[in-house]
Amino acid sequence: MSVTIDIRDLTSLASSLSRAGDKVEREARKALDGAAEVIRNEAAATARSYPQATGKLAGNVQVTGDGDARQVGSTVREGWYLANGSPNTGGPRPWLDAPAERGAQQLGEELSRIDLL
Amino acid sequence: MSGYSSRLLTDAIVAWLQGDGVTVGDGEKPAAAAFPYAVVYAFFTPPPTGSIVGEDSDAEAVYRIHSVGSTRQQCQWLADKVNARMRVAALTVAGLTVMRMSDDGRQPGEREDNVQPPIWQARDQYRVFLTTT
Repeated sequence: MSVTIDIRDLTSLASSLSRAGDKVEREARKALDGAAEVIRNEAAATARSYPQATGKLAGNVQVTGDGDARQVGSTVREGWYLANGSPNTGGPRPWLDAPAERGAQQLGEELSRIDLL
Repeated sequence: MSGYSSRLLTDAIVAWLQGDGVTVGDGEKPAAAAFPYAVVYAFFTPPPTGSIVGEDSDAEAVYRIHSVGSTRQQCQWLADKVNARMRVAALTVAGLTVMRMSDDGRQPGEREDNVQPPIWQARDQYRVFLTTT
């Protein structure tokens, strides 16, 4: 269970990167790292808040990847069951999806600001 | 934000599917659950957006709809029926206008062995784009 945020998807940023060089790229990478960390922390906190969760998932939400993309996710099976629902855990719970959408939206806003640099 | 009622929106989605002859559970297995049946879950809502005249007037609501059957055929038949219905943005809900409903990704049916006898379950995600009125 993981999500990927990828600054290569933003074409306006890509053209900006080619024009403005190192400073913009540094800022964009910093924003990407920040967003990935926010998503990780929120996902862990959300997972921790469910009574069905054992705590194993909350302790195992990881950020991986380098360069222009980061992945946030967990290899703990509980993550899949919580996100998709099961007879034992009940309905699906957006422990990763909701933080990922919020984080990606904030990243988009931050990249728009950087685009103006 | 002028706000909208997520309760009324979910009610409308449940009624929309029921109007197509689908047995629907509202966040849980329906009481009289003969196969196949669907279960609607209000999944989450990203932060609202908008324009300069209404900064928080546009919103999205993400729903998960599970289609459950005793066989793969039954489960996928219902999932396809739900999918066709959930791509038609014709809901009427007080306080908002539904602009578009889209397929947000589908898991096309898996056998669930945690219950006996086993069931088949498709887990599909839909996104409702709306603006408050």
